[in-house]
Amino acid sequence: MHFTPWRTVRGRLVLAALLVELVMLAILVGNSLRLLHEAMGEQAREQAEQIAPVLSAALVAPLAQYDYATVQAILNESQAIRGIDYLAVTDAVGAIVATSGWPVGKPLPPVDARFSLDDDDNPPRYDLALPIKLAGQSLGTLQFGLDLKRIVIARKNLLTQGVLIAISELLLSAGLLTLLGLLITRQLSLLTAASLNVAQGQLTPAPVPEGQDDVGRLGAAFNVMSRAIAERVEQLTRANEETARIAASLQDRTEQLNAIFDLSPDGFVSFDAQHHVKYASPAFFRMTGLKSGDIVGLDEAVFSARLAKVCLDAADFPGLAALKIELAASGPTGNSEAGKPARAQRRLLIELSGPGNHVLEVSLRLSQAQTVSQILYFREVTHETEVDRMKSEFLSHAAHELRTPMASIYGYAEILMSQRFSEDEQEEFLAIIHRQCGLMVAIINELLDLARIDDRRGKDFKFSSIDAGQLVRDVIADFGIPAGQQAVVLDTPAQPCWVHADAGKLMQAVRNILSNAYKYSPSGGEVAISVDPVNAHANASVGICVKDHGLGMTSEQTARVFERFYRVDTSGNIPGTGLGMSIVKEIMELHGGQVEIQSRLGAGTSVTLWLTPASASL
Amino acid sequence: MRCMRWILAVLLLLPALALAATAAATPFRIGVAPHSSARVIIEMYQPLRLHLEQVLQRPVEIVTAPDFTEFARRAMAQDYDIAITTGHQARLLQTDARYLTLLTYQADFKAVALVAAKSRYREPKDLAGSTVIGLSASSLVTLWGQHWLLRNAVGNATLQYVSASDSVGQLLLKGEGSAGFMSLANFQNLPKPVRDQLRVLAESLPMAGRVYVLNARHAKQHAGILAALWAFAETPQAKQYFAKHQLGGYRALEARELIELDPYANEVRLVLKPAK
Repeated sequence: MHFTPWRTVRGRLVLAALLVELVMLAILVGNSLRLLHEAMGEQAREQAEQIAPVLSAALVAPLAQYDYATVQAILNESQAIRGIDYLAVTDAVGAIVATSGWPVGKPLPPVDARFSLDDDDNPPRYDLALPIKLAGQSLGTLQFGLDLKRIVIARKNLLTQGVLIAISELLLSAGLLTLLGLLITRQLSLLTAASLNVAQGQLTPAPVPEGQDDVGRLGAAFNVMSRAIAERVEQLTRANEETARIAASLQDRTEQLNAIFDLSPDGFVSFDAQHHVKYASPAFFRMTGLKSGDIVGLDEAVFSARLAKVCLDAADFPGLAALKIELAASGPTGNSEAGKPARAQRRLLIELSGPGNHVLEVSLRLSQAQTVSQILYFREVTHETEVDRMKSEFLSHAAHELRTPMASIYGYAEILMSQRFSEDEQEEFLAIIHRQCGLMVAIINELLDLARIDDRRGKDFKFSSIDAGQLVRDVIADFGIPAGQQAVVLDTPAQPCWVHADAGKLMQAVRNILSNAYKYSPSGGEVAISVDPVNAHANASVGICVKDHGLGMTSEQTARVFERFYRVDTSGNIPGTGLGMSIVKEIMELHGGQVEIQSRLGAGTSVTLWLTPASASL
Repeated sequence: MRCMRWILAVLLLLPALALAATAAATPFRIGVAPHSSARVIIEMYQPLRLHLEQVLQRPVEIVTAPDFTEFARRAMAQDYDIAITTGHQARLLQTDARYLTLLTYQADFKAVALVAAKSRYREPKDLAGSTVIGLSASSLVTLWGQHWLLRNAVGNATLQYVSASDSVGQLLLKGEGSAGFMSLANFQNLPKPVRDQLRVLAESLPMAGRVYVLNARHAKQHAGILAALWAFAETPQAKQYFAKHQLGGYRALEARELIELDPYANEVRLVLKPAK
């Protein structure tokens, strides 16, 4: 930084001194001009007063005699007097009777009321008029002009020389004052430069000169100050670096937390010390469908109302106040150690009204931190609750299915033990018991199959290349055609159709759909099984199709046919466990295949198992 | 018709009114023959000027001329409204310029021939072949002196003209001239040391010395102006004026007084006559 000269103390002192000197010189020159003006004016008036009586006396007689030639002669002689520019005499009525130094016929100039050097006269002139009287009789008027050229030139010379002298004086003074200023304030300049260096960031400037006078003591104080500043700056720099490191660490941690929050399936809502919503994790917004602007800044009561509003049943979420009461009531289990965050123990589930019917587990955690008063925690438990529900439903169905044959077995066994029946009757009852036991065994076996499939998820499957046509023929060979039913119409290609499959599981699947075809064809009807060649389906190359002409199904029944324990026949006349198609579906999914069902009520059903060709799977 | 008369009257009066206005602005000029210096003449006639200004209600100025000849020439040229001059010029103005006589002073006007008291000139004949000094070729005293020299058969006298009576006395005392002519009144007004060194060689009979004549353009005001002059004579300023200058007051002028001066008037007429 560079200061302009007039912004320095030295510059301002010089300017002030020069200004004072300029004013004084202006006053001096102006006063000189004024005195000159006054003196010259006085001199002119005196000259006029000296000239006028003489001329007047000389002119009285010729004027009284109308001797204008003499008047003219007097004027001509008088005009030779130095300083008189012109002379003119007018008679008593104002007519010009004689002039000298003034053109004949030209009107006389107006008389000056006062002496002035600045009139427009050219040449400069002081015009005077004096009446010529004798004994009270006006004989005429004498007008003459005093030549002021010399006075004007003298004034001009005075002004010019005065200005030149003033300029010279100002220049000399400026130089002298600048030199004196430099001598006096050179240490201040060094001090200023050092201060500017400090201001520009150079905090360890070279020491400035010190001394015993004021400026020297100021320099010493500056040196002490600059050293202290350097030390403080070093400390601040270290502290700043530490702060930056901490900030970076915090930033890193914040980014980690943000990443965790972003990736976490669980949602969090934190509240500040005033119990207003401060932050909510992305998972919370995904779960609830709420927006950041909807909740951030709300106090806990309004937030509770807003959250309850998105619940399927608003009563599911009692609100933060109720949670805190419950937390407080939980006592030592909730907050056993002083200074540790408290956490609600009761599991609170809310079901949201949005798409997917999310079920969230809500818990509250109180915080001892100054900026966070409490954190509301949300965990997605939709699948978990659905599994629980399905398990309960499955157990209920299984118990129901098992209870039916068990009730029959229990009833007949009780009758046989309490009464005596004929052998035929006993055989009949035992046959019923046997059949019901067989049904129970079948149910239990299928349950075990399904459980094993669910548990192992295909890990116990032994895949290999199998000829689908041969596999179908083997199933038919072992399949017992129900009594009174037609044999299976088989349609397999002459060439092997290799598929990648577990032979036992695939045979179980084919057997299940073949069994269903006969069971749901109570009036007989043809049951056909065929193996479709490659390219019969877009995704699966080989299809094993079982087609009957039995009862058929509605579209609603078709949609539910893979549900466990679902049975199209609700009369109980058609035996079955309701697990067969579930097992088929699980097997086909573990094979990477699909099950396709086409059915029309009263017209029959067609079930196709689509499998991946062995060559394609390899 | 009556209106037309008024308009006609106003139209006729307008030039007269304009003339009157011009006259009022133009000073009433009183020319006094240069019997003394211009300064003395101006101062001497101020009481009369002031009185006439008051009576006439217009500016009045006292003027004179460098010499008697020039005065006569200007008077003849009608330059003056009133001329106060010697009797012979008054006669000339009366006859040749139609001036009207007004009055004159009671004091007698006499011309004297002076010589230095210690000079050798005791008789007129002693002046023969010498230089005599006169005021002006047209002045009454000079003309009387010339006539006196002629009557006394003074031969070969050379006449020298000067401008003032004082000069005549001084020149005589210095021996620059043998004799000099001036009025008796002027002689009596000379400083006593000068007067004591002079001697009156001859003295004229009383003559009309200073006669007031009025320019003919003021003929209608003749009576009024004459009355004003008589009225002035009764004022204290006039009495003081008469006493100071030993004039005795005004008196009426008799016609014969000017007629007697015809010879001198003729001399002036000849002087004024343009040379051919």
